[in-house]
This record gives sequence, C-alpha cells and structure tokens, in this order.
Amino acid sequence: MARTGMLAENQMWRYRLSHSLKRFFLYAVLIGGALIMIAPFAWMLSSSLKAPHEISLKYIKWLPESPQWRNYKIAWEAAPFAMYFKNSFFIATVCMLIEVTFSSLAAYAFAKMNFFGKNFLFVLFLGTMMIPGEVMLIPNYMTMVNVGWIDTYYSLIVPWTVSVFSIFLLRQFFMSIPHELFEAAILDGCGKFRYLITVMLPLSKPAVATVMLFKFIGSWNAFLWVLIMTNTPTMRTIPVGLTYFVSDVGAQYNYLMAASTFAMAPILILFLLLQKQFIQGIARTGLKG
Amino acid sequence: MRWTKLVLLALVLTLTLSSAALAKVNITFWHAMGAELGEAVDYLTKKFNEKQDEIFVESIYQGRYSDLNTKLVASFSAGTSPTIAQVYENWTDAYYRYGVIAPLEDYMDLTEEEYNDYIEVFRHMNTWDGKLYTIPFNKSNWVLYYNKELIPEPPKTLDEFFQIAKDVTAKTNGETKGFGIRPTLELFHAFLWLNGSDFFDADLNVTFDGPEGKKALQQMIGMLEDGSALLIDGYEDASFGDRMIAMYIGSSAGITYAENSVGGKFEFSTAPLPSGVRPGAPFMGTNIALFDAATEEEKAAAAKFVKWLTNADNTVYFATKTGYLPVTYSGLSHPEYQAWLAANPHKAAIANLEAFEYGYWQPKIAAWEECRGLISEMVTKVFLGEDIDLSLAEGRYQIEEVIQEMLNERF
Amino acid sequence: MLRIPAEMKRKKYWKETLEAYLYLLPTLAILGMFSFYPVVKSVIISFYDWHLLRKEQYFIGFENYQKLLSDRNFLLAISNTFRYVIGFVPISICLALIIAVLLNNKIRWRGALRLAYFLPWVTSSVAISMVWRWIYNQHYGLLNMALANLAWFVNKVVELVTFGSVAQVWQFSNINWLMEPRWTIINIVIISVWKSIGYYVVIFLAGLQNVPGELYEAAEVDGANSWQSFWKITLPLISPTTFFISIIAIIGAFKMFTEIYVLYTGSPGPLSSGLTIVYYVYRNAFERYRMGYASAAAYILFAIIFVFTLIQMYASKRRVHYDF
Repeated sequence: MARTGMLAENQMWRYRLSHSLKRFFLYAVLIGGALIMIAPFAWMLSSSLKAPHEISLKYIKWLPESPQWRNYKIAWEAAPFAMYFKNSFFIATVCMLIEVTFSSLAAYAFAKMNFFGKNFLFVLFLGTMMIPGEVMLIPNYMTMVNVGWIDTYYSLIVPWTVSVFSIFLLRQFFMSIPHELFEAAILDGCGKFRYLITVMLPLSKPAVATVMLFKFIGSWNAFLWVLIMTNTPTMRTIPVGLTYFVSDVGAQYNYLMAASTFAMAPILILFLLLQKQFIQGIARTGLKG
Repeated sequence: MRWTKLVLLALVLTLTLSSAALAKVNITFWHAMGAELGEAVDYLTKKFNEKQDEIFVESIYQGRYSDLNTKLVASFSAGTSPTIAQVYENWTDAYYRYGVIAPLEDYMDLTEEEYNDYIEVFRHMNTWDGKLYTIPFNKSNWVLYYNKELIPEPPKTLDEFFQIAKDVTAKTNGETKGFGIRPTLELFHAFLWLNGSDFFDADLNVTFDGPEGKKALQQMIGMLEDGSALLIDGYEDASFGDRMIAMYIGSSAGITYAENSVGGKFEFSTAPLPSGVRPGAPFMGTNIALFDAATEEEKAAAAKFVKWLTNADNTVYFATKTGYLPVTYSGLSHPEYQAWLAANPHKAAIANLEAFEYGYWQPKIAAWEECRGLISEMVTKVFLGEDIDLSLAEGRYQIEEVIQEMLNERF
Repeated sequence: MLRIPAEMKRKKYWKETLEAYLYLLPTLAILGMFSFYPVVKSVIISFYDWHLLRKEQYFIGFENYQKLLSDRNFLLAISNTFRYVIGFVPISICLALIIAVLLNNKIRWRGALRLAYFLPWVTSSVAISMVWRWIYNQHYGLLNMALANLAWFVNKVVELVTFGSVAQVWQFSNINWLMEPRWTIINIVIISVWKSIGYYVVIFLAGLQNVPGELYEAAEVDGANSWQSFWKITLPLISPTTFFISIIAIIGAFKMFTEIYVLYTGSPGPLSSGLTIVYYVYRNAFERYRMGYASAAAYILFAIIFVFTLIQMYASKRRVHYDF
C-alpha cells in the first residue's frame, strides 16, 4: 500500500514538474515574443518624450533626460487634430456599425441559403479583393466627383460599408455552427431572419467583434483614400495630420512619435473593450435535445 | 397683391445685383507645406485675403509632394484641378507637353524690371517656350554643412575638401569621419558638375558617362575607401548632430533639422560647395504652376496672387520663416533679409550671391522621374562594388531608352 | 419519408434565391458601384494607351499586356513579389497560430499580452518606418547591435567549451541591411510578419473559441499529450479559420507595396530589389501617367492571385471541415 502510494506520489511529482515546465515555457515564449512586438513601439514612445537633439541614433538612450510632455501639446497643435479626431471617430464608428450589419446579412446568405449564382457570386466577391486599389482610385474619384460627394462624409463612409473580408470571415463562422440547430429552428417555425438575430449572431460574438474592430481600425488608419476624396481639411482624418511632421528634407521625430501615439490611443481602448469577446469559451451545448 | 410682388421682385433684384458686385473670384492653391512651412503659407494667404476684396485664395495642404502629385494626377481625369499648385520642374514638363498648364507670365503683366528681378537661375528653371510658365516659390540651395569646432575654415576647393575630410578623420582617430555620403543622385550630380559635366547636353545626349562622370564616382568611392567618409542611410543631420560626420552636403531648407539635431552641442555653419574644375551651386525646390482648366478670371486672379506672393517683402518673410530662398534680387538685397542673415551667420552661405552665378539644376524633362531612379541605381551599384565603367555604360543605355520613349509618346 | 415533387423543390429554390438576393442587396449595390464598376472601367483602360494628362486615348488592344510580359522590370517585379509571398505567408501563419494557441490558455496578464501582439498592427506606417530604418541602420541600428552581442556571446561560449582552442567562430561585421539588394525582401518580410502577426492572432483566437474545452479534457483523460491534441482536435476544428487566413494572407501578400515605399522612402529598394507588382502599378500610373499600362499590370497580378486562390480552394476541399 505504502509503495503504490509512493509511486503515485512520484508520478504526481513528475506530472507537476512537466506541467510547471510547460507553464514556464509558455510564459517565456509569450512574453519574449511580446517584448519583440512592442520594442519598436517602446522606442517610439521614448522618442516622443525627447527633446530634438536627444533623438540620437548612435547613443541608444531609452529614457529621455527629462520627459518632454509638452511634445504632445506641440504635436497636437501642429495640425488641426481636434477636427481630425472628430472626423475619424464619426467616420470609423458609422462605418463599423453599418458594415457589420451589411456583412452579417450577406454572410448569412452565403452560409445558409442555397441560391442561383451562389458560388459564382462568392468567387466574384473574392475577386474584388485581388485587385490593387491603385487602379480603382481614379475611377472611384471620378464617380465621387460626378455625384458631388467630394469633401463630404458620404465618400468617406459609403464605399466602406461593405467588406468582402468581413463577409468571408463571418461566413466561415456561420458555417461552423451546427446546421441541425438551424433546421430545428426552421421546423419550429422560427424565421430565417429571426434565427440570424437570436441565434447565429450571439453564437458568433468573437467573429463579430473581430469584424467590428478591424473595420474601425481600417477606417481610422485610412490615408490615401481620405486624401484623394477631400480637397479641403474639414473632412480629413488623423493619418493626414501625421504627414505634417515629415518632409523631403527632414522629419520632426519627436512630434511625429507623439502624434502617432495619441492617434493610436482610441484604437487600443476599443481593443481592450472588445477583446473580452475574443476569448469566450462558448460551450456548444445546443445539441442536447 | 401686385404691389407685394413688385416689392419682392425689387428686393430680389437688389440682392442679386449687389451680390454680383460683391462676387469674389475664388482661387485654390494646393501645396505640400506642412508644420511651420504651412504656417508661413497660411499667414501670407490670410494677409492677401484681408488686404483686398476681389479675390479669395484658399491655400490647402495636400500632404507630402508624392501625395500632392497623386492628387494632381487624379484631378486631371476628373476635371477638378486647382487654380494653382506647387510643382516640380519635371512635373511641369509633362504638364506643358500635354497642355495642362497655362503660362503664368502671360497673366502677370510683368515689366521688364520685374521680370529681371526674378533671380536668373530660377528664371531658367521656370522657362518653357521662352516664357515663365511657372514662377519660383520655395527654392532651396544645397550647401556644405560643417562642424566649426573641428573645421574652423570651410574648404574652398575640392582638393581642400578631400584634404580636410582626411585630416578630421585622422584628428579624431576615426571617431568622426570627415564627410557623410548618401549615395544619392544629388550627390553624384554635385561631383559631376564640379568636375565639369552634367547629365545631358543641350540636345539631350547623355554625357554623365564621360570621363568627368567616372572621376566623380571614383572620388566618391575613394572617400569611402580611404576612410574619410561614412556611408549614411537616412537623414544626415542626425549623424552630424551625433558627431559621426563633420561635413555633409544638404538642402538649405533642412537647416532647422540640423539645428535641432545639433541642439547646441557644438557650433556649426554652412558654406557654399567647394569648387572643382568649376564652382557650382545646386538649386532645388518647387515653383507655382497655373492650370489651364481655370477660367480666365481665375487665372488673372491667381496671377495677381502669385505676383504679390513673390514681391520683395513677402518672399523675404517666407524665406526667413522657412529657410527657403528669396526668389528675387530685391528680396535678396532686402534690408530685413540681410539683417536676418547677419543675425544667423551660420545660414549665410545659403544666400551667397556668388553661388547664384554658378547655379545649376536637375534636368527639366518629363521623364526625369524615371531617369532619377535609373541613375540612382547606377550610383548604388558602384557603391556596392560594381565596376564603374560597366555601370556607367549600363546607365547610359537605360537612360537613352527612356529618353527615346519619352520623345516617342503620343499626344 | 416524404417525396417532395421536383416542382416544389424548384419553387423553393427560386424563393430562396430571391430571399438571398434581398440579404445581399446592400452589399451588391455598394460593391457594384465602387468595385465592379471601377474594375470594368480599368479593364477597358488596360486595352488603351491611356495617358492621364492627355485628352485623347488610343485603343491598342493587347499591346500593353504583350509589352509587360517582355518588360525586364515587370518580370523582376513578379519575381520579387513571389519571393515575398513565399517568405511571408508560411512564417506569419505558423507563428500566428502558435501564438494564438498559446494565448488561448488560462494565463495571467492575458489581456496585456494580447494587446502587445496586436500593437504593431495599429501603429501608423509613417511613424514606425522611421523606427525600422533605425533598427536596420548599418552602423548603430538595433539589429546589428543585437547580432553583434549574440555573436560575441556565442563566441565566448564556444571558447569556453573548447577550452580556448576555437576562438571567434562567428565573425560578425555590420550588415548594410538597407543598401544591399539581397536583404530587401527579407527586411520587408520581417517587418510585415511583425506587423501582421497580431492581426492573424486575433482571427485565430476567434476561431479557437469554437473548440469546446471539454474535448481537450476528454482527450487528456484518454492519455493524449498536447501535441496530439493540437493535431487531432485543434487543427481540424479551426480549419475554416485557417482556410480563411491562408486565403487572405496570400491575397494580401501579393499586393505588397506600402511597407516598401515607406521604408525605402519612395524608392523600390536598392537596384529595385523591392519592386513588387503593385509598386510597379503605382509607379506607372502616378509617376509616369501611363494608366493603361499600369492597369494591364494590375490585371496580370489579378490573374496570378486568382489562379493561386482557386488552387487553394480545391486543395482545401478535403481538409476544411465545417459544421461539427
């Protein structure tokens, strides 16, 4: 009895050791990787607090002599950032909300319905992702000029309320939810639309959160499109403001880094808010009956 | 009822007539001046708008030069080009060949005195078909930046330059190299010119592959090989401020960046480029072009604005705020500008009058963008160790191809 | 079992078709106007000698396409692009999958770690490219410094282990990352992987939520180790996500342009070693005003991507499992 007890204890000890070792490597890899990921950003942050002559390339100083918090103020005032922020927020939010709606509807059709031209249309949609935006820029610009949407929110929002990427992503998710759930609901008299709203979407929260986050970020960081579709500063967004600090003969590193940092802040906040949705551990117990 | 209608009619008529009388001509000016440069433009624009009632100018920042270019290109297809914009010479050549711009000179009513007031080298850079199609606006000069602590007297000739570079390197035991080399087209052009040649001759024949070109490349590589120069990627002012190099050649418009990087750690100044077989001062920057799609009224208004913008007081204001040069002789000799130069001796070289006599510029041809890329590649190849003669020959062949294509383009 | 007459089946099919198109209506309207229409227009342009400054354009049929396939620079662009795709796609997907799986565990600071991996994706290209240019700097960049230290460390270790007989086994001298053509694609792959990992990790994490925890527990009870769990449970169950990521990663990789333009400040790398197809398109359209030629190049790219995507879709038919 005592021997088996000791044996079990030995096994437990080995199990605990391998478990601890595993945890150690887990943390080591994740934290090590994370440090590599944020190293460039850390440099950006430290540069944003330096005085101009401290931006030395030769002598690597992670900490500035005295943090120049006023860099942030100066950067903020160098371009009409208050206006840019307002525009960015408005455009990104509206885009995000409308796009997740349109994409969910479209993805649902592709995932759950059988219709004429389904595969052809899907491939066609995918095809639009394969064409570089540079060749569509001028034709789209001309369209916008013709409908008078230059320098309006319309040109900055409407074309971006559709995203094949999102449709594709949501479709994949919708397709991995058991079809039996769907059939059962339909037999029970639940309409297709109701099923989408009450069952499909709640079960796909991680995917929906992902789509919303990516859309918001894409809109927030959009540069060339915004620049082309606006001729005056009133509708412009943050990325345009960032170019103020770069010129052909030099760049104001510290202000640029400061501006880039406060430009990123809202996205990080959104990420933290949404990221609970990414890890949810849904138990797919819907099949119990 | 009829009486009320009459009153209404009279009211409407009065309003329309008076608004017609108050109707301003609106013109748009697209530029690529951000930060402080943009502030100077905005200030001048505001001043112009306030001092008169007939014209309203809207000056809009359109990103960096590459972004401005993209916007202009898109605007031609859609018919939304601005009235005036900043343009490079090679853009101008393309616009000129396809008739997208109108000659500003025709609308400016310049007396002979005023015409001659524009600095000669800038006039050359802005002339097509015998006219000033564009007007110089923000022009810069390339000068020699040098560390006064290590180099009390700047070199006046190329030989002195090579010697000083070696001396500084020796003096500091290699800690500070004499000269910072960025293997750019501009640097190659400088050495090419100082050795007596240029990229093309007057008939667009390639001349950079001649003995002068070879010598230029050999001199640049030579400095790297004997250790008196450091290869730089990125902006030189940072390495200069870090005391890794004691001299570099750069734009006068970059002087504030140099001031920031040096940050008072040591005294520095600028000097005209040392002269080789001949002296030379490279000029760069952009000019203002007038687009043909504007109405005659708008064109006349724009011309008025540009003329005002480049008058002595304003060109001096712009120059002192930005580090660009005044574009007229009266600007150069303006007491305010002279005072500013005196107060900033380290900037004196940029306005060295002599330099203007020896001014040169990059070829004003539409295909220049493409040529730039090819010539830069050629210089890079040489720096990577390729045989100079071979690289020059390849470069010649490629450039000739491009020039031929440009001349064969359909109109 | 009820035998539904064929006619009823047909009616149901068309009814569903109508319903589906209603769901697709907003998407179709907007895609139609802002994607299909410009695509058609630019395809037509590709058959013209279309100059952006000129009023008249000349129809030249397939001449643009013919010229492209014999243009040395375009062929170089194709080669550079392929090398980038081959470097970027496998590395980024594998790394992202590993990180996502690791992050899916119950660990402390999960939120902060996820944020750290995601950070590169949201930083502005303009700002971060300057940091990377410093990192890649030959004389005092972080990368060379790190490698120099690593080389010193390795040398010391080897010296110790061999009791001083083997010294300086790794001779490291500063690499000129940004000026030598052979590093260009590698530099860009590194930057892109760094930037994109977080993006793919987020998507993988979302996909991993579909894997019920009980399955792992059951497997562990049955004696499976982590490796087996990964292969037999995780991978199959996230195959829809993996498929999705592989498609968008390849499509995105073929369209590489911005990072190169920004890192090399408006040049396609030394000796055009970073000239990709989209860079070639941009250059011809906006720097040389040759819209027709640029459009043709874009559609050759499209054809390449399309073929690759089709291959992927057929290859995945047996490996992607939906609907458990």
